[in-house]
Amino acid sequence: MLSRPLMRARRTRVALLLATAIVLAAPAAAQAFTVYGAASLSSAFPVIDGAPKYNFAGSNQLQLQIERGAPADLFASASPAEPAALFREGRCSRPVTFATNVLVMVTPKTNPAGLRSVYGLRSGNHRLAVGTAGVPIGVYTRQLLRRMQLTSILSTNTVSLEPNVNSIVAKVGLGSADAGFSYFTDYLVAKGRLSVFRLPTWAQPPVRYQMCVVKRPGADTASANRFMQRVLSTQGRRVLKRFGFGLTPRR
Amino acid sequence: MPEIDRAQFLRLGVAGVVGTVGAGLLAGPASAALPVPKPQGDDVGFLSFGAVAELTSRAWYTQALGAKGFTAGQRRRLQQAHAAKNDHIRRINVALGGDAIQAGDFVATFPDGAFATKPRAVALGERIESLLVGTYLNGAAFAHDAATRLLIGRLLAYDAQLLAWMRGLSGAPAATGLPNPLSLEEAGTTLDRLITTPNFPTS
Repeated sequence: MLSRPLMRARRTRVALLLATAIVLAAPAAAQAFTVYGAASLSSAFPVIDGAPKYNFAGSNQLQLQIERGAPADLFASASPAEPAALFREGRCSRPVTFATNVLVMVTPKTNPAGLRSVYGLRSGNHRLAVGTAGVPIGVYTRQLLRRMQLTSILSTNTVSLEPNVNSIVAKVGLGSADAGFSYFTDYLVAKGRLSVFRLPTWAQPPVRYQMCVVKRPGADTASANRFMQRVLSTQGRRVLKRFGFGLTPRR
Repeated sequence: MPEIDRAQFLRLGVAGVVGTVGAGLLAGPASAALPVPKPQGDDVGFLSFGAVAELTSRAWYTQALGAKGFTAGQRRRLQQAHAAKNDHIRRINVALGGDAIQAGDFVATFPDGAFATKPRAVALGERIESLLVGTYLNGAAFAHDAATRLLIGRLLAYDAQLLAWMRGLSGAPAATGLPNPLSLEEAGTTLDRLITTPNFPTS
């Protein structure tokens, strides 16, 4: 048996070791590398790199959060507009294009409204799920409808405005909407619950994804750059392609 | 030095004034700035379709210039039309502003052997020009903005000439009747068979 002073000394040593471990571990947790990504990247990015902490949402919302000082280290957007704005403001590095996408119309798998093409929405009285005017999927959808001379469908149907593409797909998949406009990649992720209708090639707006390293005090720039290289690597491109994204030629 | 009397002096003065005013009248319409198109609502559809179809048409002229069977005179006409297509694309994109079509986003993909013979090449060219003429006819009638209608009308006038020329090349009468306007739905279905988006996924 140990004497009382010896036991006290041992307890003190253990307590000191624990305290040291906690002190050493704390900064590591606080410095967890964070990627702010467009909602449409929520399936592909964790496969490319499982290490970062992810925050997926509408690109416009993420831009606003970064402008307000959110602890993002890398920003990946579904449109060049948001990274370009942050770059102009000096809040992120020069944006790099890393993927492309196209728009499709999705309906619930059973297609209860009996839609055969996007032109079927001209008859009105359908329930539509569309991105808000600020989120990239909403901007692209409106651009496509303008080109196809179909903007009237936004007033002749009951439209629910969604903050990001995941909400659109969820709403249509659950049957709460007769149709919605999403990216092709989001259809692929939920194709068990959805039917897809392609939209004319000539009217497609160019959907380009861009990313940039966030500039803020305490940002983990090294990890952000490593992540960027991983996304642009052959393996990263392979994963993006597997999830249905288009790829721009290597620079 | 010859002397001039008062009557001659007055006649010269009148001639000078008439000449100056006449020259101004003649130069006026040509140099007057055309109104700037400000497409509204569905007007964007006519112009966006026009831009993509003109890109496709330009690609046709590029390939036709490399095809066999055209005479030297016909090649000159092909070159002029090719240059005009560049101008059409530029003008449409200026009108589209933020909605402008980027050349790299679309690539014309013509059927195999489409340029193997002159008749086949001309048949394809005629098809593309017919799409443009049909859509521009629709736009000239129904675009909301007057300046946009004027731009579409000018594009229509030029492309209708090209269409007539191509019909002549294929031995058909220059005009066998009035061309019909085409809806974007009809025209888009045909155009989609001739274009791809190489850097974008295929849905």
